[in-house]
Amino acid sequence: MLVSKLPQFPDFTISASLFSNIENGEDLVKDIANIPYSLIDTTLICSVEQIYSAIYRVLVEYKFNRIKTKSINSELLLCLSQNSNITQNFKKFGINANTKNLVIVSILENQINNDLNKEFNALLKGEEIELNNENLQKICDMKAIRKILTSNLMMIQILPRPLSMLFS
Amino acid sequence: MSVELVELVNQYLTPNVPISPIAQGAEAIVFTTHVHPYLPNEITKDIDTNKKYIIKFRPPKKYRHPVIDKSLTKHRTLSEARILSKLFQIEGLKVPRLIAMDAVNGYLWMEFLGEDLPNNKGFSNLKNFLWMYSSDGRDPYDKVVKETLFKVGEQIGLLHWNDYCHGDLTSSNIVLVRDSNDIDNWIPHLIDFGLGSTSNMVEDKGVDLYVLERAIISTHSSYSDKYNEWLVKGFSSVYEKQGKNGSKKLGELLGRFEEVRLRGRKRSMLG
Ligand SMILES: Nc1ncnc2c1ncn2[C@@H]1O[C@H](COP(=O)(O)O)[C@@H](O)[C@H]1O
Repeated sequence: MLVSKLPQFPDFTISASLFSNIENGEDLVKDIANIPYSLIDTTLICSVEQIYSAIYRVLVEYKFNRIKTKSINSELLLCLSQNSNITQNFKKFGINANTKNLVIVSILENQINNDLNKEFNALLKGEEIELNNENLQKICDMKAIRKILTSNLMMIQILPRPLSMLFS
Repeated sequence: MSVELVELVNQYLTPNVPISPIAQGAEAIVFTTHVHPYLPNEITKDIDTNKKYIIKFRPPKKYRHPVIDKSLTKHRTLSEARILSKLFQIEGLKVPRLIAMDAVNGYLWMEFLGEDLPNNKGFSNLKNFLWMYSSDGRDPYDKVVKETLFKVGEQIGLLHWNDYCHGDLTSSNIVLVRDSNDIDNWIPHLIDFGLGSTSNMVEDKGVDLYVLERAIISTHSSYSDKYNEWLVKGFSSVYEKQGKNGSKKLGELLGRFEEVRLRGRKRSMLG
């Protein structure tokens, strides 16, 4: 689990993990409304930059503007692309019954939860692997990513250099 | 820079993001920082040691109505981000990479480009680079200068060929990034697209070329003929690679460049 704070938002604690070989996708989808974290299908995620730049956007919106969805957790799915169509983004980045790999993110304001890692592992039937670009690139769908990236403002630029070169 | 403005930025960024101001223009204030806006240390420590980032801030203007001001700031910030993002995708074109944006508050984060030139010759933009080669007994017509200006011309050619205009193409808005494997290879990057736009008008492109030519004449007058010749050579090479259509467009463009130049001369004669 990667625990961090964004320098500009010291009141928020971000925890994120990558899970592969998920077996209970169907149950997760059924229960999604009650799950207090963001669950992101990694098909369209090839770098941690994608996740964390979206978290930054969520916190900017949350602190200085207003979020457009029900919660910080759902807002993260929206902020993963510059497209503002909520339904489309949930479909693209949210999990479905067949999801095998996912990133789970918790954003807590003024709270500490020392049991998060346990909670993640209890919720997800799968295998936790280190959240890094190397692992994400093994499990994502580069072809599909290429399609969405070129039409998305900033999406290519935030990728680390060797990756962004694949797309430009 | 006003204490009030710096205070505003510090409040927004919090003490966790220490900044140093490096430039203030009519539109924006530019700061550098060593803090990445969102990547965890575990991620940056391998790839990003000692990295610097640029924070470009468009402060509120007191003389504008607050609602109009907010909306203008948002539009201009977004517009600069959008254009940088499009340009970044053009093969061969070099612009800073965007890292983060808060359009409503007028903030853009991007990668820092360039370095300090040796012997206190200042930051490695084209202007200081040319100064460096015309001082300390160096040869202002050095091969490195010629190659660099050709490459600058190529960058502008690529920009124009793809129907974008810079809008404020001075020699300070061209940053030279030194190739880490070859110290004499300076790779020009175009910065500050605050006035950038998409345009297929020869007039806009002619004006871009004219503005840069004037900048070079005013700061490096003794050598400006050759310098501008090399720039235009690099510029032309991009169009000439595009076959007949490219050569035709190049002809129109250089024709308009000449017209803009003549207009400029008339204007200065009228005083
Ligand atoms: N990406 C960058 N890398 C290095 N220096 C920059 C960058 N962007 C802006 N600057 C510096 O800040 C000054 C003003 O920026 P601007 O307002 O964008 O023209 C420039 O003339 C540069 O010296």
